[in-house]
Amino acid sequence: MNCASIVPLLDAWLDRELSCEVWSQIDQHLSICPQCQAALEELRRLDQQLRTELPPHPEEVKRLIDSTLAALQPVSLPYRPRPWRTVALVLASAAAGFLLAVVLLPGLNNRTETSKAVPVSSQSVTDLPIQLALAIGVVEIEEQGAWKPLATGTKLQPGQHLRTQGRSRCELRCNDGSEIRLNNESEIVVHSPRLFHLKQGQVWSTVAHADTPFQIKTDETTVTALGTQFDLNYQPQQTTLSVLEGKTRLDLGGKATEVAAGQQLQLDNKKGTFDIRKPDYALYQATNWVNEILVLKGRDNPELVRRVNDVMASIGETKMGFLAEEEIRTLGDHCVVPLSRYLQSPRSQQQVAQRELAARIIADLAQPRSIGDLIDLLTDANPQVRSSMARGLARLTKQDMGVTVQQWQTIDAQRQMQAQTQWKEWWKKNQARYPE
Amino acid sequence: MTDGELVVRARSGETRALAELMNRWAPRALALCHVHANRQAAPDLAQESLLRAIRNLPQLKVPEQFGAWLRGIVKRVCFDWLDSKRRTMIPFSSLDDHAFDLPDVAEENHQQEQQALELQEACAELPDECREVIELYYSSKMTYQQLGDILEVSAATINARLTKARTLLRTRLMPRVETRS
Repeated sequence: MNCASIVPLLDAWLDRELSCEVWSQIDQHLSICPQCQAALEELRRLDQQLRTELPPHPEEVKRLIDSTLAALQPVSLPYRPRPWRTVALVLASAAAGFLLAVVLLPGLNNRTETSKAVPVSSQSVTDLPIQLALAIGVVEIEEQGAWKPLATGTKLQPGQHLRTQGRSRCELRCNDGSEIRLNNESEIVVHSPRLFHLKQGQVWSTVAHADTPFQIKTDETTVTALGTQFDLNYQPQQTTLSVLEGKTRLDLGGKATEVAAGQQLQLDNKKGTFDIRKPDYALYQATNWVNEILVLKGRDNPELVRRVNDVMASIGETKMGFLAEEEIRTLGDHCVVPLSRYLQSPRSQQQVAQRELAARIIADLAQPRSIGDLIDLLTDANPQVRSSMARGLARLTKQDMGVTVQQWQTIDAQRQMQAQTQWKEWWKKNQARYPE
Repeated sequence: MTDGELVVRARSGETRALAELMNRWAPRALALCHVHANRQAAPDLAQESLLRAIRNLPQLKVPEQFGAWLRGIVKRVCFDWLDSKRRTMIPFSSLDDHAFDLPDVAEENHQQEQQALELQEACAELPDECREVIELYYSSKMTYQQLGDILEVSAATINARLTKARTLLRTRLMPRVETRS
């Protein structure tokens, strides 16, 4: 056995889930191979950390058992039917329309204009390490009671008021890498690169890790973050906080609640009541207003790529949910990318039959440019999906890397990963032979 | 004793068997609630799930499949709860003063707490199928086969998901851990 075949087996080795024979072969190899030892050591550290920090606390388990056995009385939780699916679909299609327009139609990329105004005040020693980095439409700054246009590249000073208009949006960038984006009709006061006051409108923040907390205040609340991505929409009646990564804290009148990744908090500003939900559509789509700013950063921007993939997956999901197989097939090769993203996305996880159907369609219709996606899906948890991918690859390349379409249904995870690695290597060498 | 044997004995009223079944499954039910709801709500939801399971034990057709059956109950309970939360606005002022401990800046400097928090956050961001395997695996000692029985997939799939989960966690956590230390 060599390193390439051993590394994928290290997890099972550590968990003692291999046969004695394989286990001792690896054991022997480890005794002579410093690279594999290092890989194992890294894995062991993670395993140890998971063992210490992940399991429920024994006290908590004990309380649970005691209370369960003591409370064999009827307990029920309120149940309501779910109204979210339709909303999710509407959002999905709206997001899809917009993003496809800006990303796939190159001409549209140039339609945005940046602020052309000159800096409103001469640079001074009080400049903060934060500047207006990108602007769509006119962004204004208040100076001596009047609003004046602000040029991109201008550094901001403590206490300055900034606002966007009906059709303008912008991004502020801090030296520590944090990014703050303002939606239309928003007004914000910059106190420091870690403290802002949102007077009205919507702000998106990607916060770099630092010891100082990052805070956005409104008239009612304070949102505190320590390295996270969130979107805060402050309207007269309602405040909505959507957290995409990490964790935030929302403070109101001496009390606080926590909002974690994937959750959305809605606060009734007047009544002071709130709820926290976990919407079953991706929050990327609820925050798609930032896409217009992302497009200015170029097509390879990883944040944009992630968002496009999610939108593609949602298109795939909508196709699988609403079109008959024949209708999808008539789209030909055009349906392959959305269906592949759908298979790769957690969205499709529970939809076994639809995933298998999508995989069969991909196998029949994929063109060479999708070979990378087909290889990626070879280790899918579903055996039917795996064998469909192998069938598609065999059709396109006349290769099977020693594993037949049938065998892909039954081989174990280790063998799958080995064969996938072979495919990846083959594709790296041969990609140039295939049309884009 | 297997789960099936414990179920049969518990059904016939043997309280010790029921207690043993709880010892075995309470941590796993909690782990599943971490995945399908969240950490704060997990104890209440796990209790509700275990109670439903105990009350409906006579309806379990194949006692050996207790694990997969309980997982189905946990998922329903968590789903109902998330759904009911969607409609219920609660007054902010009704929150406890210290309903949870979100780390403030001083606490953040405690490396260990920070690591635990990062680990939990990183786990929360795993794809659900990976997260379920990893939370269950570390909730109590189980083999791939036992995990496969609960999640109704093969041991090979468990292996693949666990490997994927750890790879994703390593990519996310290790660079940060190293730069700090």
